[in-house]
Amino acid sequence: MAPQVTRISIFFACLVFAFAGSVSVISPSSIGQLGPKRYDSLARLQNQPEKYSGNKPCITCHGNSSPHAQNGVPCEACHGPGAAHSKDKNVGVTVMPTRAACGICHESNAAKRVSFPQVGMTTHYPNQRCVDCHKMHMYLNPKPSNTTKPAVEAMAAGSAPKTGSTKPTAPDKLQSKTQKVGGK
Amino acid sequence: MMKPEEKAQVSAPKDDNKITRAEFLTETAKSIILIGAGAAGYASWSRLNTRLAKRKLTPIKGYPSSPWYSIAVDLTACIGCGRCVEACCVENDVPANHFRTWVERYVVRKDGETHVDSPNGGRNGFPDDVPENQIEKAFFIPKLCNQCNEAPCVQACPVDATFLSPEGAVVVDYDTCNGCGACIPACPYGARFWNPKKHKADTCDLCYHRITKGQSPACVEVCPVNALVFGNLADPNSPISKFCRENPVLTLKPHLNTGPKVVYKGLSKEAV
Repeated sequence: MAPQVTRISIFFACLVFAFAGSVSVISPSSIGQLGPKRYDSLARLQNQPEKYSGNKPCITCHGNSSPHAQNGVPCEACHGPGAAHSKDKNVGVTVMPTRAACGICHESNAAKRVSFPQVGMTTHYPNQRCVDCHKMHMYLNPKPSNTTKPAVEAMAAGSAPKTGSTKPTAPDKLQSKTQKVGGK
Repeated sequence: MMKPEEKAQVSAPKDDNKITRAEFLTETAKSIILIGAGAAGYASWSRLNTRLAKRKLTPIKGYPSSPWYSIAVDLTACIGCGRCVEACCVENDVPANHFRTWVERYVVRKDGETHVDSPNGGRNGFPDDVPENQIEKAFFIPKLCNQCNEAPCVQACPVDATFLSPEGAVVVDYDTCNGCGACIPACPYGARFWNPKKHKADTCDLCYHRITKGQSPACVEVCPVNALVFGNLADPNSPISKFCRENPVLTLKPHLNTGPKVVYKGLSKEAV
């Protein structure tokens, strides 16, 4: 073989091996496992922080004795993401005892199933807070007892209101729905 | 350091049995290069072999050896409160007016017309704006990525950035995705969107960061009426397997043969 051919072939062989060697050293070992160009994509997706913690950390400190929690309503449905709060109690969660907050679920709508307790939010005591009558949470500040009606008080306690007691003047869909659900 | 014999050889006339110093150095250099190149070649060849072996051991489709997650939706329980939408948007940092999951309201009037609406994806609930005496039938239907086994978006992606994870979730590799948007019209369920924050295509990946740590997706976590059931389809005792066994369930657009894993209980013919 001519010496220049030998030299050129040695040079090109070195180039090829240098390329193959550097590719195998530089490229991450997980490349090709999930497709030709991907590497560590699943690990990167897993690194995203969680913002919702689930019920367990809430119940550890606050208990689950409220009627909503007893019915299986998750805390974070109303109070927003709680992962940060469960790690550091100085980070607050959304506390929302407003009418609008209750109306998100309990506003009457023809598309909702009949068995779900719902009420016309614009007609059912529009100037009062829902939580003044419906004790749906154990951490709310109790109102003076003279403002609560005995019928709704009994309703909050879980028993059906007595007939002939103080009837609300506004159309009370929620009351009849609760009776139906309670009877089951 | 030069030995005296070598010095003598350089000055001596060339002999057939002896080599000159220049020839010796050239041959040594050649052999070192050849040995080095051979070692490098062997190293890269063995690395390639281990990589190929790994690739054979970890196939992309893990079912049924690994979990195969999905979500079942109970439309008879859904109240359209939109808490799932809120949770999804917060958890995954979805920009405004874009949704990984959203709730639609179907209203079939007595004159036979069907109206579908989803104000802000159902995130703030639905107004009671249709008079009840005009309604024949009305229901909510939460929509999300159907996690197809034969996903059209995966087939449409030109750079192979979206794929089925070993857990059965359709995930997007945001580093490979170049944001061309070919997957968006490919999805027959309209579940894909272009994320203006990431400048990439985006979709529901069943909260991949949560399900791989043993948690439920955020939407399932917050549903107040348990209308969303999450679980492992490969495990016969998981909640979703029980749900599918005990209830009649359907998928959306089954005629497209996309193999959706998300199933619906109580699906009406208007929404199929």
